[in-house]
Amino acid sequence: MRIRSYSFWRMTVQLSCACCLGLALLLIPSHSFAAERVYELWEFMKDEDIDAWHYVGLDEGELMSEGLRFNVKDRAVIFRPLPEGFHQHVDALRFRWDATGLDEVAVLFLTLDDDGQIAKRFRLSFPVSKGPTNEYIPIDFYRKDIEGSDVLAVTFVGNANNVVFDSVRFLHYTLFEKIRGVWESFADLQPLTPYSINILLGPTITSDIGSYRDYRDWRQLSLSLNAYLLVGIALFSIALLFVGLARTRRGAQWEDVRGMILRTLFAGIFAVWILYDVRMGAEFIANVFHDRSTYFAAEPAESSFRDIGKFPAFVAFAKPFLKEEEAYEFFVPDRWPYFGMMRYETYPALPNPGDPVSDLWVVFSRTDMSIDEENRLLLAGKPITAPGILVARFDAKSFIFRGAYAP
Amino acid sequence: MMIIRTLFALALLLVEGALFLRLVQGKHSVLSLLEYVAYGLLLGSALVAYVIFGAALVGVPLSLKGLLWVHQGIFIVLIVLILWRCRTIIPPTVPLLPPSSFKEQKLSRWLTVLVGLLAGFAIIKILIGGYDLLLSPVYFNDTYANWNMRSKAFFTNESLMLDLPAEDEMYFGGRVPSYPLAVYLSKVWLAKAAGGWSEGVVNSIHGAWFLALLASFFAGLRREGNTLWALAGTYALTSLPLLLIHGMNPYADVLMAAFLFVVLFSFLRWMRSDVAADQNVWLRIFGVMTAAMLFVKNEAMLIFLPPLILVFAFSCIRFGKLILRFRGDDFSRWAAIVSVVAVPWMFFKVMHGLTFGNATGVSGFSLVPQEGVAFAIEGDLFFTGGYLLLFPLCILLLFLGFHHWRKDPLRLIILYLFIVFAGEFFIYALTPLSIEAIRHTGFGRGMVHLLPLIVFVCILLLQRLLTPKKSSSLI
Repeated sequence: MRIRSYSFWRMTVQLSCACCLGLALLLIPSHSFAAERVYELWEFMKDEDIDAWHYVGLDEGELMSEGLRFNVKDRAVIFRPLPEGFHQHVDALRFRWDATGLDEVAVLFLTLDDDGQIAKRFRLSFPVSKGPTNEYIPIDFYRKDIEGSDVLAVTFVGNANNVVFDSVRFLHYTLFEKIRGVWESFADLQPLTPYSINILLGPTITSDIGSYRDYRDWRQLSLSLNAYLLVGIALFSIALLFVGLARTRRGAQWEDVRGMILRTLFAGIFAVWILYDVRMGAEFIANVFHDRSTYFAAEPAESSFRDIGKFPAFVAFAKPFLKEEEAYEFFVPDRWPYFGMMRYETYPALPNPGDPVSDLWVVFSRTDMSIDEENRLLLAGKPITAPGILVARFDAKSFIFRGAYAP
Repeated sequence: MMIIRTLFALALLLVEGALFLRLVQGKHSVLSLLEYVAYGLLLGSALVAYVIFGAALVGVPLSLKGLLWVHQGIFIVLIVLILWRCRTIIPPTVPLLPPSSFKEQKLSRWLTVLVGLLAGFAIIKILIGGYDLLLSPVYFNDTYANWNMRSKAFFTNESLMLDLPAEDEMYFGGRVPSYPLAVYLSKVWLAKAAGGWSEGVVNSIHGAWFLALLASFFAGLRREGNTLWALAGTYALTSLPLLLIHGMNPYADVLMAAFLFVVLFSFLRWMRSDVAADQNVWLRIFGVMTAAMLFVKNEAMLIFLPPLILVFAFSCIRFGKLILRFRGDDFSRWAAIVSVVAVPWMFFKVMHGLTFGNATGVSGFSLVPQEGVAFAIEGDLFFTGGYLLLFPLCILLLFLGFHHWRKDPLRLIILYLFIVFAGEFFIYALTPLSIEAIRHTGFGRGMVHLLPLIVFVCILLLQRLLTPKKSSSLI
């Protein structure tokens, strides 16, 4: 019995070492294959480039060094058949445009029926930022949604002049790059958020290597590591069962074979568990170290705590001024979580949630609040108090003011 | 100085809990030193809070002086009762660790390295998490909105604030006035003893409760197996990221989990014991821990107690006519102990119009099927990193190890877990509380309560699966 039990543990040790070694090997090529590989490039350099596209709601355009320049009234659409081999070889798209002044730009993948009519569409919209913009689409996240699509369309919505559409890059990643993408998505540690006490998402896996880190919000679109592990464990179990059956055919006792299968299976699961723990433990430790460097050990002026930033520092600053108060008016960018935090921190002084009852105004990070020349507190440019005094200032957007409410 | 006073305040809770356990065990001791310490801290926190609650109701202020009077009273009563019952304070024999049921395994060099590395990793996580726990400002919602807020209100006002009108937002501490008081009053005691309200002081007890959970869990697994399996199980428990986050943050769910584990473990020991004296002691521990559990969170009364009554009653009628009478007697003794907390607390709640349920009262709920709950729960349990691979592994082990548990007392723990899980599922699937499952809020915290028990069952099944019948079991 002891030998059998011992061999389970030994197997766990061996498999754990193998897992760690495998991961270490994955790390080695990660930076040697980082160059972006363009499978096809659509630019606006020559007249033929303009002719390659179809246009709706767009009558005129001007070829410039930075791309095709045009004006948009309400909506303009440009579209073009996807390149040969798109579904097999393209792993990501990178767009470059300058849509300053528009409401939205959307990329559509259209599937046509036999009559050339749109049978299915998949739409990804992008908020518009000022100036030339690069937008990246990791196809790995949407492979199922765009399966069988024939046409790529770009829609410009809104009213603006001098909109520029520069290029579309169809990117292809090598196997090593994809492995690196898988590794990086696995190793991408998540910061602590107010929701971490309820759910920890854990690693999600994608082979995309492009701007994954810049697109953290897209993480939820990729599959959880658990899905891969569960499939892997299922396949491993089936393989073990076949090995066991082969052994019984060669005359081995079922009891021995059963023991071998169970020991190997659970040693494998334990090894995977350890690996997973290392990943999640690293996330936990990294978050504490982050807290240390940005808050515990940071200079008071520089300290910032998780996603609430300078709020704890502001609380420490404000508390001494609130000691004698029963209630005070409290202005913050968002009621949650700041109001509850402030209520706790300054108790028994309470922030007033209703109509003003106090002459003490505590303002944190409000760009729309200031004090005018007559020493009145302004909200959205309008005075809300009689002339009073600035009790203390934390920063340009945060201060404590005393003055009678005068709407 | 504040650190020393905090440690003293924690130690006092532990000693009072341990003395109470000494009294509960009487002349026949079954607990090891590790269990005395772990159970002592858990029980001490609830016991002291319960007595403070009673004292506050009769007008004792929640000031340092008032609380020291309460402690003094607890000490005197416990010592007098122990001397009256056992003639001596010192228990007969208290081993450092509980006895193993299986032969201890000799560790190979590689295995020693693996155990060392994993234990080291777990300890590092706990130490680093403790650093964060003691130094962080309040961050997670229920800390500042409920646990620390209500404690601070009691601390500041030095009363239970029952003199306020019922509609006042700070009535009975405010926020969730229906919650029992173990967590809040433990924090009030710590802050008063330390000489002031400080996050580090009032949050430190959560780290201590987490360590008490780990120690109880290790001791429990050692009793059911051996040191190696106990280490493996404790490592597995510590590695669960959501439990670790809870262990190292000022939430009450780890304390609830620790109580639930000790309650079910003592129930298991009661079932397993062949010696009548052992069985009696485990029954009393089971009863006392169940009673104390009711003073931690509302879930204890609403979700954990009813199925416990069910499986305990079931276990009493399973053993034939002759034993039925005896076990029925056990049931009534257990019920009598539990009612010492349950009845006054329920009476108090009814008298003051406090709700039953979790943070939200359940009285006004209508049962209507809610969409998306099953999908959200499946995603939460199987496809997030908070529990690693625990739930699929648990299902696999229950399936593969069926012949190991179907005739073992462990089946009642599994039945209990199943009833609780099904109960929680139907609460979310049929009431407006579904939002807590769909948004992944309350559901995940509810699972934290069950994690130690689930890991415990998994490790026992794994151990039995990998240990052939001609094993070196000592029992």
